[in-house]
Amino acid sequence: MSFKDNIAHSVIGIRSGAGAYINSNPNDATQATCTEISDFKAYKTYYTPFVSYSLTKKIIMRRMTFIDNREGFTALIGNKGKEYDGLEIEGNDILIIGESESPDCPPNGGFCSKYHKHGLLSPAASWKNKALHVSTLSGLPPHKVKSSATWETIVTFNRLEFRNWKAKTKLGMKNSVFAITSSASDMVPIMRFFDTKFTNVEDDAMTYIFDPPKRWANLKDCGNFPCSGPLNTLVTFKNTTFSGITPSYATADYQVIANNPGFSKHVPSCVFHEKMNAWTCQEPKLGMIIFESEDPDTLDRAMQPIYSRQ
Amino acid sequence: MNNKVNSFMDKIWDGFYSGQLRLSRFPIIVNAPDKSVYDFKFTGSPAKKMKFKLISQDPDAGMTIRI
Repeated sequence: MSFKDNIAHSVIGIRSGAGAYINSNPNDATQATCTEISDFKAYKTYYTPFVSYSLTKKIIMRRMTFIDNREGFTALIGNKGKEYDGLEIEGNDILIIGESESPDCPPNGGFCSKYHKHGLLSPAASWKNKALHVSTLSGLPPHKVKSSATWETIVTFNRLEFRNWKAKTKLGMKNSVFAITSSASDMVPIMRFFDTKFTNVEDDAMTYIFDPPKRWANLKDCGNFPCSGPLNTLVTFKNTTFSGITPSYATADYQVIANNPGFSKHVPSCVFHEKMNAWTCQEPKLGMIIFESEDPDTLDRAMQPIYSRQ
Repeated sequence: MNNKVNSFMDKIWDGFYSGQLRLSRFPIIVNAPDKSVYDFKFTGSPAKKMKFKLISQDPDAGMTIRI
Protein backbone atom coordinates (compact mmCIF):
# COMPACT_ATOMS: atom_id res chain seq x y z
CA MET A 1 0.00 0.00 0.00
CA SER A 2 1.42 3.40 -0.86
CA PHE A 3 0.55 6.77 0.64
CA LYS A 4 1.43 9.39 -1.96
CA ASP A 5 0.46 12.77 -3.33
CA ASN A 6 -1.68 13.74 -0.36
CA ILE A 7 -2.11 17.23 1.08
CA ALA A 8 -2.92 18.28 4.64
CA HIS A 9 -4.00 21.81 5.44
CA SER A 10 -5.78 24.08 7.87
CA VAL A 11 -5.28 21.78 10.86
CA ILE A 12 -5.85 23.06 14.38
CA GLY A 13 -5.44 21.14 17.62
CA ILE A 14 -3.78 22.04 20.89
CA ARG A 15 -2.85 18.46 21.83
CA SER A 16 -2.38 16.96 18.41
CA GLY A 17 -2.68 19.09 15.30
CA ALA A 18 -0.18 17.47 12.93
CA GLY A 19 -1.05 17.29 9.26
CA ALA A 20 -0.72 13.52 9.08
CA TYR A 21 0.44 10.58 11.19
CA ILE A 22 2.73 8.34 9.18
CA ASN A 23 4.49 5.46 10.93
CA SER A 24 6.29 2.42 9.60
CA ASN A 25 4.13 -0.63 9.09
CA PRO A 26 4.86 -3.16 11.86
CA ASN A 27 3.58 -5.96 9.60
CA ASP A 28 6.25 -5.25 6.98
CA ALA A 29 9.59 -6.58 8.22
CA THR A 30 11.57 -4.48 5.74
CA GLN A 31 10.28 -1.29 7.34
CA ALA A 32 11.99 -2.23 10.59
CA THR A 33 15.20 -1.47 8.74
CA CYS A 34 14.15 1.46 6.59
CA THR A 35 10.97 3.48 6.13
CA GLU A 36 10.42 6.11 3.47
CA ILE A 37 7.83 8.87 3.49
CA SER A 38 7.51 10.77 0.24
CA ASP A 39 5.44 13.01 -1.99
CA PHE A 40 3.45 14.80 0.69
CA LYS A 41 2.45 18.44 1.06
CA ALA A 42 1.08 20.48 3.95
CA TYR A 43 0.19 24.04 4.78
CA LYS A 44 -1.26 25.84 7.78
CA THR A 45 -0.92 23.02 10.31
CA TYR A 46 -0.79 23.74 14.04
CA TYR A 47 1.97 21.24 14.79
CA THR A 48 4.32 19.48 12.41
CA PRO A 49 3.18 18.97 8.78
CA PHE A 50 3.32 15.26 9.52
CA VAL A 51 4.58 13.24 12.43
CA SER A 52 6.42 9.94 12.32
CA TYR A 53 7.78 8.25 15.44
CA SER A 54 8.49 4.71 14.35
CA LEU A 55 10.37 1.60 15.41
CA THR A 56 12.87 1.49 12.57
CA LYS A 57 16.58 2.01 11.92
CA LYS A 58 16.35 4.58 9.17
CA ILE A 59 13.68 6.98 8.04
CA ILE A 60 13.82 8.88 4.77
CA MET A 61 11.66 11.89 3.89
CA ARG A 62 11.64 12.73 0.21
CA ARG A 63 10.02 15.12 -2.29
CA MET A 64 7.75 17.20 -0.08
CA THR A 65 6.50 20.77 0.06
CA PHE A 66 5.56 22.60 3.24
CA ILE A 67 4.12 26.11 3.43
CA ASP A 68 3.46 28.32 6.43
CA ASN A 69 3.13 25.71 9.16
CA ARG A 70 3.45 26.59 12.81
CA GLU A 71 6.01 23.88 13.62
CA GLY A 72 8.54 22.65 11.14
CA PHE A 73 8.71 19.20 9.60
CA THR A 74 10.60 16.55 11.47
CA ALA A 75 10.81 12.80 11.95
CA LEU A 76 11.61 10.70 14.98
CA ILE A 77 12.74 7.17 15.64
CA GLY A 78 12.24 5.11 18.78
CA ASN A 79 14.58 2.12 18.85
CA LYS A 80 16.56 1.32 21.97
CA GLY A 81 17.46 -2.14 20.65
CA LYS A 82 19.41 -0.75 17.68
CA GLU A 83 20.75 2.44 19.22
CA TYR A 84 24.40 1.47 18.76
CA ASP A 85 23.89 0.60 15.09
CA GLY A 86 23.66 4.24 14.02
CA LEU A 87 20.03 5.29 13.60
CA GLU A 88 19.52 7.55 10.60
CA ILE A 89 17.04 10.29 9.74
CA GLU A 90 17.32 11.71 6.25
CA GLY A 91 15.43 14.39 4.29
CA ASN A 92 15.88 14.89 0.55
CA ASP A 93 14.52 17.36 -2.01
CA ILE A 94 12.09 19.21 0.25
CA LEU A 95 10.79 22.75 -0.31
CA ILE A 96 9.93 24.74 2.81
CA ILE A 97 8.24 28.09 2.31
CA GLY A 98 7.64 30.75 4.95
CA GLU A 99 4.48 32.68 5.66
CA SER A 100 1.78 32.72 3.02
CA GLU A 101 -0.79 35.37 2.15
CA SER A 102 -3.35 33.49 4.20
CA PRO A 103 -3.59 35.42 7.50
CA ASP A 104 -3.47 33.92 11.00
CA CYS A 105 -5.78 36.68 12.21
CA PRO A 106 -8.30 37.28 9.43
CA PRO A 107 -10.60 40.26 9.93
CA ASN A 108 -13.96 38.94 11.12
CA GLY A 109 -12.60 35.42 10.73
CA GLY A 110 -13.68 34.31 14.17
CA PHE A 111 -10.18 33.23 15.19
CA CYS A 112 -6.79 34.75 15.75
CA SER A 113 -3.67 32.60 16.15
CA LYS A 114 -0.46 34.29 17.19
CA TYR A 115 2.57 32.04 17.52
CA HIS A 116 6.21 31.52 16.60
CA LYS A 117 6.80 29.59 13.38
CA HIS A 118 9.64 27.58 11.88
CA GLY A 119 10.25 25.43 8.85
CA LEU A 120 12.18 22.50 10.28
CA LEU A 121 12.21 21.02 13.75
CA SER A 122 15.25 19.11 14.97
CA PRO A 123 14.68 15.36 14.54
CA ALA A 124 15.36 12.99 17.39
CA ALA A 125 15.76 9.35 18.23
CA SER A 126 14.88 7.91 21.58
CA TRP A 127 14.52 4.59 23.36
CA LYS A 128 10.77 4.33 22.83
CA ASN A 129 8.68 4.97 19.74
CA LYS A 130 5.05 6.04 19.78
CA ALA A 131 1.90 4.39 18.57
CA LEU A 132 -0.17 6.04 15.88
CA HIS A 133 -2.83 6.69 18.48
CA VAL A 134 -1.21 8.14 21.59
CA SER A 135 -3.40 7.11 24.49
CA THR A 136 -2.11 9.42 27.23
CA LEU A 137 -2.32 13.19 27.50
CA SER A 138 1.32 13.42 28.63
CA GLY A 139 2.39 11.77 25.37
CA LEU A 140 0.97 14.61 23.31
CA PRO A 141 1.79 16.27 21.04
CA PRO A 142 2.99 13.15 19.26
CA HIS A 143 6.44 14.52 18.43
CA LYS A 144 7.20 15.19 22.10
CA VAL A 145 10.20 13.11 23.20
CA LYS A 146 9.31 11.10 26.30
CA SER A 147 12.25 8.72 26.70
CA SER A 148 16.05 8.91 26.78
CA ALA A 149 17.92 9.91 23.64
CA THR A 150 19.70 7.11 21.81
CA TRP A 151 23.50 6.87 21.61
CA GLU A 152 23.97 8.36 18.17
CA THR A 153 21.57 9.61 15.53
CA ILE A 154 22.78 10.60 12.08
CA VAL A 155 20.64 13.41 10.68
CA THR A 156 21.24 14.41 7.06
CA PHE A 157 19.37 16.81 4.80
CA ASN A 158 20.14 16.88 1.08
CA ARG A 159 18.96 19.52 -1.38
CA LEU A 160 16.47 21.33 0.83
CA GLU A 161 15.20 24.72 -0.28
CA PHE A 162 14.01 27.37 2.16
CA ARG A 163 12.12 30.19 0.48
CA ASN A 164 10.82 33.51 1.82
CA TRP A 165 11.74 33.44 5.49
CA LYS A 166 11.51 36.72 7.38
CA ALA A 167 12.79 37.06 10.93
CA LYS A 168 9.32 37.97 12.22
CA THR A 169 5.85 36.76 11.34
CA LYS A 170 3.31 39.31 10.19
CA LEU A 171 2.06 39.34 13.79
CA GLY A 172 5.54 40.03 15.17
CA MET A 173 6.44 36.56 16.43
CA LYS A 174 9.67 34.66 15.81
CA ASN A 175 9.93 33.08 12.39
CA SER A 176 12.87 30.87 11.50
CA VAL A 177 14.18 28.29 9.09
CA PHE A 178 14.85 25.73 11.82
CA ALA A 179 14.28 25.30 15.55
CA ILE A 180 15.17 22.84 18.28
CA THR A 181 12.36 20.66 19.51
CA SER A 182 11.32 21.85 22.96
CA SER A 183 11.56 18.35 24.46
CA ALA A 184 15.18 17.78 23.37
CA SER A 185 16.50 17.97 26.91
CA ASP A 186 19.04 15.18 26.46
CA MET A 187 20.62 15.66 23.10
CA VAL A 188 20.08 17.43 19.80
CA PRO A 189 21.65 15.22 17.12
CA ILE A 190 24.07 16.98 14.78
CA MET A 191 22.05 18.18 11.80
CA ARG A 192 24.06 18.07 8.57
CA PHE A 193 22.78 20.01 5.56
CA PHE A 194 24.20 19.48 2.06
CA ASP A 195 23.43 21.52 -1.06
CA THR A 196 20.84 23.66 0.71
CA LYS A 197 19.31 26.56 -1.22
CA PHE A 198 18.17 29.70 0.57
CA THR A 199 15.99 32.17 -1.30
CA ASN A 200 15.00 35.42 0.41
CA VAL A 201 16.07 34.51 3.93
CA GLU A 202 16.64 37.41 6.32
CA ASP A 203 19.66 37.74 8.61
CA ASP A 204 17.95 36.66 11.84
CA ALA A 205 15.63 34.12 10.25
CA MET A 206 18.00 31.13 10.31
CA THR A 207 17.03 29.87 13.76
CA TYR A 208 16.24 30.57 17.36
CA ILE A 209 17.97 28.14 19.74
CA PHE A 210 16.35 28.28 23.16
CA ASP A 211 18.31 28.18 26.40
CA PRO A 212 17.42 25.17 28.57
CA PRO A 213 14.47 26.34 30.67
CA LYS A 214 15.04 26.79 34.40
CA ARG A 215 11.93 24.70 35.09
CA TRP A 216 13.96 21.61 34.11
CA ALA A 217 16.07 22.15 37.24
CA ASN A 218 14.09 20.07 39.72
CA LEU A 219 14.37 16.67 41.33
CA LYS A 220 12.01 14.88 38.97
CA ASP A 221 13.66 16.13 35.77
CA CYS A 222 17.31 17.22 35.61
CA GLY A 223 18.38 17.77 39.22
CA ASN A 224 20.12 20.91 40.39
CA PHE A 225 20.48 22.58 37.01
CA PRO A 226 18.74 22.24 33.63
CA CYS A 227 19.69 19.46 31.24
CA SER A 228 22.24 20.64 28.70
CA GLY A 229 21.18 19.08 25.39
CA PRO A 230 20.12 22.32 23.66
CA LEU A 231 23.36 24.10 24.65
CA ASN A 232 25.38 21.50 22.74
CA THR A 233 23.54 21.91 19.45
CA LEU A 234 25.61 21.78 16.25
CA VAL A 235 24.21 22.35 12.76
CA THR A 236 26.48 22.18 9.73
CA PHE A 237 25.93 23.46 6.19
CA LYS A 238 28.01 22.46 3.17
CA ASN A 239 27.81 23.65 -0.43
CA THR A 240 25.00 26.10 0.37
CA THR A 241 23.71 28.66 -2.14
CA PHE A 242 21.84 31.90 -1.49
CA SER A 243 19.78 34.19 -3.69
CA GLY A 244 17.61 37.27 -3.19
CA ILE A 245 17.71 38.55 0.39
CA THR A 246 20.84 37.01 1.86
CA PRO A 247 22.05 36.75 5.49
CA SER A 248 25.29 38.50 6.43
CA TYR A 249 26.95 35.18 7.27
CA ALA A 250 26.04 33.60 3.93
CA THR A 251 28.84 31.31 2.79
CA ALA A 252 28.82 27.92 1.15
CA ASP A 253 30.11 26.17 4.27
CA TYR A 254 29.27 27.29 7.80
CA GLN A 255 28.02 26.02 11.13
CA VAL A 256 25.41 27.19 13.63
CA ILE A 257 25.86 26.49 17.34
CA ALA A 258 23.88 27.34 20.46
CA ASN A 259 24.67 30.22 22.78
CA ASN A 260 26.60 28.04 25.22
CA PRO A 261 28.18 30.39 27.79
CA GLY A 262 31.05 27.99 28.50
CA PHE A 263 31.90 27.23 24.87
CA SER A 264 30.64 29.39 22.00
CA LYS A 265 32.53 32.62 22.67
CA HIS A 266 35.80 30.68 22.90
CA VAL A 267 35.60 29.30 19.35
CA PRO A 268 37.73 31.67 17.27
CA SER A 269 35.60 32.39 14.20
CA CYS A 270 32.14 32.27 15.74
CA VAL A 271 29.91 35.36 15.62
CA PHE A 272 27.00 35.89 18.00
CA HIS A 273 23.52 36.73 16.70
CA GLU A 274 21.46 37.96 19.62
CA LYS A 275 18.06 37.66 17.95
CA MET A 276 18.78 34.02 17.06
CA ASN A 277 20.42 33.29 20.42
CA ALA A 278 22.98 31.41 18.34
CA TRP A 279 26.43 31.70 16.80
CA THR A 280 27.50 31.20 13.20
CA CYS A 281 30.99 29.78 12.69
CA GLN A 282 33.63 28.84 10.15
CA GLU A 283 35.09 25.89 12.01
CA PRO A 284 34.89 22.63 10.04
CA LYS A 285 36.33 20.64 12.93
CA LEU A 286 33.44 21.40 15.25
CA GLY A 287 31.95 18.17 16.43
CA MET A 288 30.28 16.35 19.27
CA ILE A 289 31.84 13.88 21.62
CA ILE A 290 29.42 11.45 23.23
CA PHE A 291 30.39 9.35 26.16
CA GLU A 292 28.57 7.21 28.63
CA SER A 293 29.02 4.97 31.60
CA GLU A 294 28.98 1.26 30.83
CA ASP A 295 28.85 0.33 34.48
CA PRO A 296 25.71 -1.48 35.68
CA ASP A 297 24.68 1.56 37.72
CA THR A 298 24.57 3.94 34.75
CA LEU A 299 21.00 4.93 35.61
CA ASP A 300 21.41 5.67 39.28
CA ARG A 301 24.94 6.94 39.88
CA ALA A 302 25.55 10.64 39.38
CA MET A 303 28.77 11.85 37.76
CA GLN A 304 27.39 15.25 36.82
CA PRO A 305 27.94 18.08 36.51
CA ILE A 306 30.83 17.33 34.20
CA TYR A 307 32.99 20.20 33.05
CA SER A 308 34.57 20.17 29.61
CA ARG A 309 37.55 22.51 29.82
CA GLN A 310 40.30 23.60 27.52
CA MET B 1 36.39 27.21 27.92
CA ASN B 2 34.27 25.66 30.62
CA ASN B 3 31.22 23.80 29.33
CA LYS B 4 29.03 22.49 32.17
CA VAL B 5 27.14 19.37 31.17
CA ASN B 6 24.30 17.49 32.82
CA SER B 7 23.22 13.87 32.42
CA PHE B 8 19.91 12.96 30.81
CA MET B 9 16.50 13.89 32.14
CA ASP B 10 14.66 11.46 34.38
CA LYS B 11 12.05 10.05 32.01
CA ILE B 12 10.89 7.15 34.13
CA TRP B 13 7.61 7.30 36.05
CA ASP B 14 6.40 4.81 38.57
CA GLY B 15 2.79 5.75 39.00
CA PHE B 16 2.73 9.15 40.64
CA TYR B 17 6.48 9.27 41.33
CA SER B 18 9.42 9.92 39.06
CA GLY B 19 11.92 7.09 38.77
CA GLN B 20 14.95 8.98 40.10
CA LEU B 21 16.87 7.22 37.34
CA ARG B 22 18.87 9.26 34.83
CA LEU B 23 21.04 7.86 32.09
CA SER B 24 24.72 8.81 32.46
CA ARG B 25 25.26 9.74 28.84
CA PHE B 26 26.88 13.03 27.85
CA PRO B 27 26.86 14.68 24.41
CA ILE B 28 29.28 17.62 24.43
CA ILE B 29 30.05 20.07 21.64
CA VAL B 30 33.77 20.40 20.93
CA ASN B 31 36.10 22.11 18.53
CA ALA B 32 38.62 19.45 17.61
CA PRO B 33 41.46 20.73 15.43
CA ASP B 34 44.82 18.96 15.52
CA LYS B 35 46.38 18.57 18.94
CA SER B 36 43.36 19.90 20.82
CA VAL B 37 43.26 18.75 24.42
CA TYR B 38 40.19 18.75 26.66
CA ASP B 39 40.01 18.13 30.38
CA PHE B 40 36.81 16.48 31.57
CA LYS B 41 36.24 17.10 35.25
CA PHE B 42 33.73 14.82 36.94
CA THR B 43 32.12 16.04 40.14
CA GLY B 44 31.03 12.51 41.02
CA SER B 45 33.01 9.28 40.87
CA PRO B 46 33.72 8.48 37.21
CA ALA B 47 32.47 5.16 35.93
CA LYS B 48 34.99 2.33 35.78
CA LYS B 49 34.08 1.56 32.19
CA MET B 50 33.16 4.26 29.68
CA LYS B 51 32.54 4.44 25.96
CA PHE B 52 33.50 7.52 23.87
CA LYS B 53 32.74 8.55 20.30
CA LEU B 54 33.76 11.71 18.46
CA ILE B 55 31.46 12.79 15.63
CA SER B 56 32.59 15.46 13.16
CA GLN B 57 32.15 16.11 9.48
CA ASP B 58 35.89 16.52 9.18
CA PRO B 59 37.61 13.12 9.24
CA ASP B 60 40.81 14.82 10.46
CA ALA B 61 39.14 16.09 13.63
CA GLY B 62 40.65 14.60 16.74
CA MET B 63 41.25 15.37 20.37
CA THR B 64 42.98 14.20 23.50
CA ILE B 65 40.80 13.82 26.60
CA ARG B 66 42.20 13.97 30.09
CA ILE B 67 39.98 12.83 32.93
